[in-house]
Amino acid sequence: MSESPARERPPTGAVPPTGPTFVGMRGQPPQNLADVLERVLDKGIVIVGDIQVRLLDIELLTIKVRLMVASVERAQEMGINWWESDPFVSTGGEENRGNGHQDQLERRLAALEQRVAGRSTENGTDARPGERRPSEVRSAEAQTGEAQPAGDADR
Amino acid sequence: MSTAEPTVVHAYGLVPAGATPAVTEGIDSSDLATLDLGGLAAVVSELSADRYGPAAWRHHAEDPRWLEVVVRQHHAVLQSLVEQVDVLPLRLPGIHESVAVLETQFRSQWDELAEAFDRVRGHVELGAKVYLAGRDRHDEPSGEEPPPSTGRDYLQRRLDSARAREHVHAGRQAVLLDAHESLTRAATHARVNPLQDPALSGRGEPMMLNAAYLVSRARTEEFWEQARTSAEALGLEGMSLEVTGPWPPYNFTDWTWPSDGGSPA
Repeated sequence: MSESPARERPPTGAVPPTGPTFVGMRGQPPQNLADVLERVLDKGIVIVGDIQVRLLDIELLTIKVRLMVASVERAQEMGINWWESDPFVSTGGEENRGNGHQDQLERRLAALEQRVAGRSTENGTDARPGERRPSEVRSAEAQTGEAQPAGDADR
Repeated sequence: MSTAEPTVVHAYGLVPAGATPAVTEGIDSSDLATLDLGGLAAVVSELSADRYGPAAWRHHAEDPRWLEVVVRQHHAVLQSLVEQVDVLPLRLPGIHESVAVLETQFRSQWDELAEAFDRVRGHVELGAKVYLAGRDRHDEPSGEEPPPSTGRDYLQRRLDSARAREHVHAGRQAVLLDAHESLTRAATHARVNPLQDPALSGRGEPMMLNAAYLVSRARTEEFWEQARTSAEALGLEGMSLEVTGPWPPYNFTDWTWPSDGGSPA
């Protein structure tokens, strides 16, 4: 990042620091698609619904959408945290949130992760959601709160 | 929408019962209705089951163009709501068989919904992203030095520049954390999200922070003031701050609150 601008700079070294580029969007609806997608597909409260239960595939599909717009590695990174740390895994309708069930869910999530990882590397071999019974995993969203500010981005 | 056509009910969000926000239309130009659930009301609209039912979602949900339209329309309703009343946003896909079914579902998790609503009551979400702008006061002219005459010179120079880089890096991290902490203090809660890839953010500069803040409506001025101050500090370290909002509090709807308030570890 810093190499190419360095060559363009005048040789005096007297370039002032880049001013604070504060961009406020106050009063206007934010329109950045990435921001909207991140929020609408990733966040917001989930309602247990019988249609929604059958739509579990869509939870997986939102990851695929991410894979389309984000880099593969980044999306995988997000995807993994995403599936693993979901505190709100339930059985849709059955109120069965016992531990044994959770183990089962974890195994299934691991399998889903692999599928996602597989898809992203194969990129295009799009296995349709087939025989999976989505009735037990309703929401596999992530707590993404543990992400950190960029560590190495400025190297 | 004509009753001849099978419909599904799409739910956008929850607002205080009795609120009468003026929102023009929902997805697919549908008419919005508020469904009073006692204390809270769901903002809903009826959509064509053919075009927005489960089968449509399965068919289209991998199509960013279809999804973008639905996402934007869903968001537009919530955005319009949050500018008028407190709102608890619901995630997509939010379709239900009928109003009766939706009501049963909402009631079955009423306590959680009410609790979640209480957490965002009187609040909006503001987003902050920090980008590395590319150059700053640490950048030194590099083209003037003569080429190193000896291997020792060369290594010394490399060592110096590595040290300088580390120093700059640490400085940036400190300012970044300070900015996040200051913004967090002006907010009720904060959440740090994964950094967006340049492909997603649409900007070439690396993203350094992608955070959301739950800010009391009464304190938004204070938050914006703090953002201005932080932007200056970040600017000196070659970083730029972009603040967006107010958003519906999408990032703050979880049942379980992060105990640390979402500060970066």
